[in-house]
Amino acid sequence: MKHDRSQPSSNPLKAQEDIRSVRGFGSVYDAYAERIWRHIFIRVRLREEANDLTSQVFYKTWEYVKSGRRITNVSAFLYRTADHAIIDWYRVQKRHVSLEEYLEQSASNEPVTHERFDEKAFAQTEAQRFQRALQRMSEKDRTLLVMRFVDELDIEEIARALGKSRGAVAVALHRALKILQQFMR
Amino acid sequence: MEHYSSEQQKIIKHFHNLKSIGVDFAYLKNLRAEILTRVAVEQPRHAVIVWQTAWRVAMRAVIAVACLGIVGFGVVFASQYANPQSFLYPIKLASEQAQLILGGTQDGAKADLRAKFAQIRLSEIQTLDQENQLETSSVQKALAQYVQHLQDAQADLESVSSSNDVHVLDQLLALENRMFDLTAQLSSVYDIIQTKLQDQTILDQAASARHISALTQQVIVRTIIEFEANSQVVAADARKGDHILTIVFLLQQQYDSVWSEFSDKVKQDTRAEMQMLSDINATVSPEKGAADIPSQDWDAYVALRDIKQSIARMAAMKQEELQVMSDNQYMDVVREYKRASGILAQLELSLRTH
Repeated sequence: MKHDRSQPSSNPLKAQEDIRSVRGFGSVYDAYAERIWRHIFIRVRLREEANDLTSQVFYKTWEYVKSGRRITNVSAFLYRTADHAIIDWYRVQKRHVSLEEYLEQSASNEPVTHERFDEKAFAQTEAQRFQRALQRMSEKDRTLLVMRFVDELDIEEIARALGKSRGAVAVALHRALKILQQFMR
Repeated sequence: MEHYSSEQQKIIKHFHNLKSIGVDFAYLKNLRAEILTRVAVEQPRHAVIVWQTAWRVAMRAVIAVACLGIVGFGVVFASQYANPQSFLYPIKLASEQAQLILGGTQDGAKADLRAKFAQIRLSEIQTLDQENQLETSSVQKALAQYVQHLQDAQADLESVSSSNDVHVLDQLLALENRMFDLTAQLSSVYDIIQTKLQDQTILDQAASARHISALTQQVIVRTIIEFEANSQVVAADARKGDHILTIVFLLQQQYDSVWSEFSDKVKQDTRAEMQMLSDINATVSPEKGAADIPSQDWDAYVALRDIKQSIARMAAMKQEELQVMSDNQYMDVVREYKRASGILAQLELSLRTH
């Protein structure tokens, strides 16, 4: 298997670094901030919200470390924290509009603003079909696919982040990809 | 090993395209600075791993012995004037490491020594500029070492405030003064880089060095304040005004963090507590009318309200007032900081454990 150099390891800290230090926490931030931001943005589709949720993820991580608890797998911890933050955010959205309605709204052909998803990547018809199909998927399936194919986490890391077994993740991923395939037809 | 059909591979390619989404770099850069400021202020004391320290000390001892034994004292002395492009330069760096081992035994002295070496790195950049030998790699290395020295100095300061040695205060004030000089010198180096090198990567590195300098200044002031509060000693030449501004900043940060946890907890409780939240935001003092507010929440509310008012009082002090402040008035503020900071730490702990 080819090693992807852009992919940080599950522990970006150097041997001598302590995550409770400025340097240690800085290394974690540098390795993951962009990836976490992108992961959140793809799921909430609003820049301001992605900023806010990314900030929550790193502040919560710091609070956790500061309290003296240990993180064995930084990558899984960050994605899990991001996941919880996104779910909480959806709950708040639900007070005003249902999740499905929200996703429907997001996928509709409303005018593109600077805050909205970068539509350039979806200019072609097939890409638009992909975007619509992705929005039709359940939040759980979408999360799995984004983790695997955008964040490029391996099955083990996804399993740790979602608190599931390796086998369950592999099966769910396979199923999610099939569903997406059907939605795109 | 996963196998995908050609149709699935097309879908996966669409996912890969999502990786080209433009990240909000400006926001992430600011967030980094904010978070690391908080980490610097809040990082647990004595967080240094023992084996790591032992390893470093051993390595430095080896370097020191190698320096003194192989190269000889004369060469080491001559190397003090070497610039980064000189063949003697590695000896100069090794001798600095030896000085850190041999000379930095007193509390605060090692941090001062590190700040001194950080200053030497800046002077080297200035000398290279004067001799028209300025080039990218030397500047990058010097800035990296500058940052490293200051980060290590921050770590060294962690154990200082618990010291009982009154002379430590003089040492800390000297360090604070050195940091002021260092900050000014770094501004001048930044200008040199901006005009002569015009390289964005190095400019970013210099900006990051500025940020670390500001953090180090905060850590020094926090250490001075804690030392003063513990030992009940205040130095005649303390920069009282600057210290009080830092106290307000540190307390506000700590308050915001505890407040956020408290409001998160209370939001899950009763309507009466929600009222309590809106009252504290409006800085009013409601009577405890609702019987269904748990007493620990009420106590936390009262403590937070008092601290908020205390911070507001400190923040309202005018510049003129700060300049003519007596030692007693200053110590009152320092004690108030210590008291409020202690209460916030306790509240934080109890919010986490309940």
